[in-house]
Amino acid sequence: MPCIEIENLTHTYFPGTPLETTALRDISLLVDRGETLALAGATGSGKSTLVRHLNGLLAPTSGRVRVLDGDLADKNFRRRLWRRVGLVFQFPERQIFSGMVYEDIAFGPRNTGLAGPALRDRVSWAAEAAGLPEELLYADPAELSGGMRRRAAIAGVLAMRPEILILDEPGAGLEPAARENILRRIIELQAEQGTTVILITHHLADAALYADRLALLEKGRLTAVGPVAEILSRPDLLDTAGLEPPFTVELTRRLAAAGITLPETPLVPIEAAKLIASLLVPGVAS
Amino acid sequence: MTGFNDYLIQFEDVSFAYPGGGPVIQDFSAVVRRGEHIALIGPNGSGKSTLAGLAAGLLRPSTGRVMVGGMDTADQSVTGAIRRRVGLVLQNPDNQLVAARVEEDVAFGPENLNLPGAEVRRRVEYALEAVGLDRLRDRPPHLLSGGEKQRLAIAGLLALEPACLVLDEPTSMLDPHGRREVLRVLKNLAVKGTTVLQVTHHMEEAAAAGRVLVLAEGRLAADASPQTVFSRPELLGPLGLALPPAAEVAGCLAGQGVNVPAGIINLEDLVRFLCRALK
Repeated sequence: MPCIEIENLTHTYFPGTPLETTALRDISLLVDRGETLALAGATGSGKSTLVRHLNGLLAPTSGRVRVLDGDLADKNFRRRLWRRVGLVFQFPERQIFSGMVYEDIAFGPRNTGLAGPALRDRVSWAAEAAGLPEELLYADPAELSGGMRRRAAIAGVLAMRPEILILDEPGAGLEPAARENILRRIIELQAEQGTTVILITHHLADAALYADRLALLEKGRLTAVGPVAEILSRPDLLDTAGLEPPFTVELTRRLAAAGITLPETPLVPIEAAKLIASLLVPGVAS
Repeated sequence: MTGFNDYLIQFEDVSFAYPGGGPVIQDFSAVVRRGEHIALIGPNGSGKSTLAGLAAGLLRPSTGRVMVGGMDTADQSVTGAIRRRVGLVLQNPDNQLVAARVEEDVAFGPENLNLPGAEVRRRVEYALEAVGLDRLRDRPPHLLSGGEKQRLAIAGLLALEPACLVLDEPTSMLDPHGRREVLRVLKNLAVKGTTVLQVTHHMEEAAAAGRVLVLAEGRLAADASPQTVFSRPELLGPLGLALPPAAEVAGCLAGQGVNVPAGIINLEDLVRFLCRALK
């Protein structure tokens, strides 16, 4: 069942002024409850504008957006949507404003009226869900490492128990293990809670690992949407969207150019190795 | 043979602590030779940015010495000279752009050196051309893409004709296209003899460098060719660092019983090996 229904969405900034810019053109997209959708596109392709509609920060210029069974055209609905749709901006640790991690995470739920033991439980739960060790709750965010600060910021959004969670490059600027950790935690959480996840990423290898479907935006238009494996095996689509294919897809393409055809397009290194080994070593199962 | 004069930057038993904090860099010794392209990798919080600041003379060591072109960065009388030798590029180019037009932004540095007009123009042309922004010279910087902005930040430093560029994760805020643009510029600069010291989280970028320094909790954990560093997963794994994808595929192939030569770290190496093996 879709929890996001976008029909012919167009968004124009500063309409009727010399600064008029159309950031989204005629987008139609359904997102199912509980699915993970990766959203990719070059800088300026409209990704941020699109997701800002989903938590009510922006309203469509034309077209219709329904989120969690409400219509964005309804101003009152739109205003309350932030409680149910969590948006984690890029470099969210820059939005940490409190001197204690606990207070930063508690801020959102406290504003919805949560207090006392219920609030404490909620903060502990969010920290755990984001993979933030309990003892760091009473630290000064400035003293945490980059990866832990990112987790603290994500915990602040998770503490609202959003039904839809939107993350803009949650792993940017983190060491590989920290990036993988954060993404894996989010996918585990999705499995536990049935949260719908929209993952904005340039890192298509991450989309291959964590998402069900992949949508590509190019200059404000939706150029492709479908199962990740299907979209990633179409290098032409990625090229026009200004995106870099995952390493294994590029490897497959280069081998094909040299006359070596793999039976299918691998999306992760271990798959690539198995496929290649099946050609090299007779008897190795592919 | 490399002699003393080939050393552009020398770290000699450097330790560093921010005021009131514990040590961030400890007993760090390494050299950067003229014309080298070096990648500096390490987990978040390992001291990479601090080391970049020390190399650029922006920070001074608590103990030990950092020498830039034979000058001690602790000697305040040579601060200006050191700034002209080593340019520092930061993560976010928006923090580094100052003027209303691309060309003026590049001219800002050399004009402040009080150079004659003809020399300023020559340097601006050289820098714009080196980063491929000559055709965008009249644009306001805020209308540039991320990759273009970062190239402009680099051009602003090149106009000072530094011997070395130190870059602190210059591509981490860019999209893949912008990242490629910046890497191409860095590669060209390195080929033409500008020394490049680049902090990065992208193992593919590190694999393209001439030498890799690995930093762990403020200490030097490895200083070797990318082939050597990336053939040591037992060193990188516990630090939360990955292998470049080509090395990962090569490792998985070995795990599948394929006899893989050591030192495969990029796509070209891997394709070459597979073509030989499969034909």
